[in-house]
Amino acid sequence: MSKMHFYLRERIDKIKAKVETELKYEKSLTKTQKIVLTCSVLSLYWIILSSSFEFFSVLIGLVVSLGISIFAYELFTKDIRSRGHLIEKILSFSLIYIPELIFIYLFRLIEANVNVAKHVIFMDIKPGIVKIKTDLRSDTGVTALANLITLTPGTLTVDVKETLEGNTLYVHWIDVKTFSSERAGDIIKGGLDKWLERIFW
Amino acid sequence: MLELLLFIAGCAVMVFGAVGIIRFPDVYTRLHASTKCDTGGALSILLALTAYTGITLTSIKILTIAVLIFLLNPVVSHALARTAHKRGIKPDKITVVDMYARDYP
Repeated sequence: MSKMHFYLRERIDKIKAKVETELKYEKSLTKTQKIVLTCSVLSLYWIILSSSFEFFSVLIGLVVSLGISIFAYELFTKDIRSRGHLIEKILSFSLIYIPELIFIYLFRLIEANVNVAKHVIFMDIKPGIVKIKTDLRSDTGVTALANLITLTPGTLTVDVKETLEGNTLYVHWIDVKTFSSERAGDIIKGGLDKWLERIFW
Repeated sequence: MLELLLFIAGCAVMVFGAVGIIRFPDVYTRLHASTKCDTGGALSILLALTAYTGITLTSIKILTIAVLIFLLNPVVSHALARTAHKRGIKPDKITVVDMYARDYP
């Protein structure tokens, strides 16, 4: 009976901690910031696709993307963390975060490519589906993490399940080094998890 | 020089991916080979084309194609792997552990 009681108390503490973190992260961007962000990304894409800097073409692109972003601003910017001003965020994103991601990711990509080429030649594969846990909670953040894991050669995300402690990713790994969930997470995710947590929640 | 190096590396990765599709035993490991083709091979070939043309609007368009591959390729391979597992296609005999089938049979 007492054991049951402690178990329940532990469970309730976990739920309380989860609710507190969700309340802390509830603060997202305001509506104007969302509209401006969506509109600027859409008009940049239009300028790249049309590849002309004429006044009339750029004006049409701006007006149409503003019209789209008034209706669809929730779609892409729902899960972005709000910390600091938007301009500061964009500057730090383009000057610090993206080069950091490229730096982290490039070496992993080269190493993984060499590894899979070695597996193709010698066929010394040991495949298996392991599960890893992540602290990311939002849909966009988990999608980005799963995509980055899949892009690394040698690992392939099969499914994502949401549990009480966080999201669980089932990853097909071509060369299983460990069965433990935490150590597999350290090897597979690397620094990607911490990097994504600064942008999405 | 850089574009030649990138181009040869991309072609080598593509060849290894094609050989891997033939040699690997089951669906999931073959998906690994095809995914590796796209990320390593296509991206470095596109980067080689960008370095060859220099900084123009054409190279920015090529980089846009690279970004689209970067976004779409994992989605397609994830959908293929998940559907294969849901349809009941078993992994090969050399598979050491299958926690997904154990948790959600």
